[in-house]
Amino acid sequence: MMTRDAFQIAGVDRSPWVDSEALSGAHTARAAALHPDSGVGDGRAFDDWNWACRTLGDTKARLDHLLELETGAPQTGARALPQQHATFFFELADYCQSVGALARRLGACGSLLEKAILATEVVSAQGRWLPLHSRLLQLQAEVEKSCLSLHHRWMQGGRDYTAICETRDLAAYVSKWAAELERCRLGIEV
Amino acid sequence: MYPNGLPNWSDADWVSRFDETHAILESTAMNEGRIVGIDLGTTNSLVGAMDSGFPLLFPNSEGRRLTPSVVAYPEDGVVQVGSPARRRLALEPATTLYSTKRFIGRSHSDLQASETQVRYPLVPSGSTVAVPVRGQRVGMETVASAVLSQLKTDAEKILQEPVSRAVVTVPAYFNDAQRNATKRAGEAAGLQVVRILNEPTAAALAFGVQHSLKEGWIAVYDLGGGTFDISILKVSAGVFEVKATCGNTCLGGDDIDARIVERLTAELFAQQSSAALDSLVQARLGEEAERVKILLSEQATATVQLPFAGNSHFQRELSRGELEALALPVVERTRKPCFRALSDAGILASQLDRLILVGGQSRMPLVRRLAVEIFGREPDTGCNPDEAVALGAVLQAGILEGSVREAVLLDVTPLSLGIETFGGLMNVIIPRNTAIPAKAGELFTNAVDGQRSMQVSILQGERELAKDNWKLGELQIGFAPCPRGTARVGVQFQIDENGILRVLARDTKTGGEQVLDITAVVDVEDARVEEMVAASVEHALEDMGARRMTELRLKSQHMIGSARAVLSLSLALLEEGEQERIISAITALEKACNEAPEPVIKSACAQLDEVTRPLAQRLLDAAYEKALEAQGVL
Repeated sequence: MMTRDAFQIAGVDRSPWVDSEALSGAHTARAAALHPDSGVGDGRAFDDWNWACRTLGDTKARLDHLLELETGAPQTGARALPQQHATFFFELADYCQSVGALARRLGACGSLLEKAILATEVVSAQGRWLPLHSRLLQLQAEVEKSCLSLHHRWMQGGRDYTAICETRDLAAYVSKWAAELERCRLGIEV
Repeated sequence: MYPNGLPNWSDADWVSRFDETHAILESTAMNEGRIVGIDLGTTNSLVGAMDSGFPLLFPNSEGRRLTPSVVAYPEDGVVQVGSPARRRLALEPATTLYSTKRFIGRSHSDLQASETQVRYPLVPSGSTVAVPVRGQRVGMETVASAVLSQLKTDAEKILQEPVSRAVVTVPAYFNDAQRNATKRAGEAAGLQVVRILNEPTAAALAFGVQHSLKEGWIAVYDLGGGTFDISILKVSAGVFEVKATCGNTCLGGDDIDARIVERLTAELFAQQSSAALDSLVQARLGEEAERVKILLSEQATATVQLPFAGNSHFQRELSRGELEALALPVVERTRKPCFRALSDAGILASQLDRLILVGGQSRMPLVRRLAVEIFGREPDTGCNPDEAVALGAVLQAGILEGSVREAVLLDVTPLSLGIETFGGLMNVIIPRNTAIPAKAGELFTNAVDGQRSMQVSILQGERELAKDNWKLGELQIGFAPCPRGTARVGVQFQIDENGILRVLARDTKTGGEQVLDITAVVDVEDARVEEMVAASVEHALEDMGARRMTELRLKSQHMIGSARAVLSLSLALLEEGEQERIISAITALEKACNEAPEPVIKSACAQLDEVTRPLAQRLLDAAYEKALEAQGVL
């Protein structure tokens, strides 16, 4: 299978950072024009366009794709745990695991009384959510910032693949745990 | 052209607005014939088509646009569909099939016991379910096909030309098997299903076109007779882009009816202890429950009347408050999907510009209140909850015919598609809420020398473990014989515009290509059960009854356990006489579990739930208060 170039399909410069706001602004109109129902549409181009926008709009997927295009090797396998944030990610994992178990017990409740018995635990889990979430948002901003600085270096010809890999690994952890944390929030919503 | 009166959509205002914004209306492409739009609902179905630029819904032979999705198989062998069939519901419950949409494309072992509370027996039939009718098995696709066939006939009568193509709507949260089954039902009725369209998307299209919506976010909350969907769409310049969709294909008005019936049955039982609660009385109760529920959306009270029930007449006043207490647990279950859809779409409820409620059940004031609470805004009116979906289907038919332009739907797949990998995990290949049509590839290789083929399980769902997801079937991938690890077979998973999966395999070494069939999973248990029930219908009913009893007893034990636990812990929160009330409810439930029939256990269960509710509420409040205190707010 040939590797598609998302940057080329989306018509932007190859770089660790893209203007995702501009991209999502252009997304809908072009997707509509390419949709098979629009008469002149083309299923393949529609799929390519959606895929390119999705890939470039997600930091981890974009960096993976960039590295694959540059090095020719598909970016699979384990990500290195970002060392300086290791404790935080362990804390997150602990939290998500305990909330997951709590959410399962909540889900199995047949009556309000059974839920009420779990109330103290639910309230305390809800209380612990916000600080973790804000910390994760901070990290997300950090990832964006480092993408932007990589972009500036890239545009001047700098090809620091090690730094790109590091940012990619952090982005991978952040997006994975952001999804987990969101699932936790929905699981213990009363 | 309209033997049954004027076209239903005669709003002159809508005509002019439609002209301004969206319409470039052309005569339909005659060479291929017209495409009709069909809303195949759990309770009612509708059909219509574009005519001179208007989406029209057609009346049936009784002059109504809503045709009940009920099919009766009377003794004389003439199958009846719609209102005539509906009138037989209370007369011949075992052979009059309603709400069958809940079971289409599903396997018997997949059904929860509580879902099988219909008044006709369900038996496994291969990988699906069927109803035994006079020695034959009627599958769910056959029932759907009978309804579609009737709608086709009604449309042909009005259009005065043969109809062979249709857009058919399905709940957005339908999986691949349910979509395929619906498509096959259309084909069996002589209709080529040119598009399977998601119901909330259809409703949004109808609303958007009708109100010339140019920009904005729309939430469509669709609570019908048997299914619930929530979709979040973004509209910009005639493009309706679904951003997220979520739902439950087994949640709807039927479940509220069932709760009312439960309560009434228990009361009937208490009133005449030896009452012969035969299936006829049950069927009449079901009809009565639905009638009263509908009345209570408008009135504060309504009277349940059941003359000649058992050995006396049964009459009872039901208030809206009582109905809401019964319906609340059902309606509450729509909350979580709404939050998840908002979260998936990446927006806050406050960013929504429109909230539309569709599906007959959304008329209930309680449902509206919940929707207002979830989305923090009043719903938009000017959308007929019964007809919006059908009008959307008709408009989509117009888009496909080329008679409606400047409106395009970009829809998504509601469920993640994946394959089972090592350790029984699900490996997602196409994530949920991906725009369709979509495709994704995966490369497979042989694990041992000379391996000829490998088996791959295809899954749909959001759970991490493969076994928790819906298994669509198995895929057989063939290899040309070669040393291990050197075979290269690329498998492409395509989800088409209908949300239906197609799998292509390409051997990159030999260049051979093939379309792979997904073989349906016939589960062993089904086959065994099938043997057991082959002879008699009675067994099937008993089987379901036994499953329900087991579930009920288990639930009762949980409730008793937690009630006891609370009593021993929270004495300080108890009010005067409350402890005694709870203890007596516990005793009653224990006693019922040991000897009483199903309705009595249910009623005892409900009783315990009721007497413990105030205490539960106090416990919840106390927990929140304590947390706020800890944060120093109080």
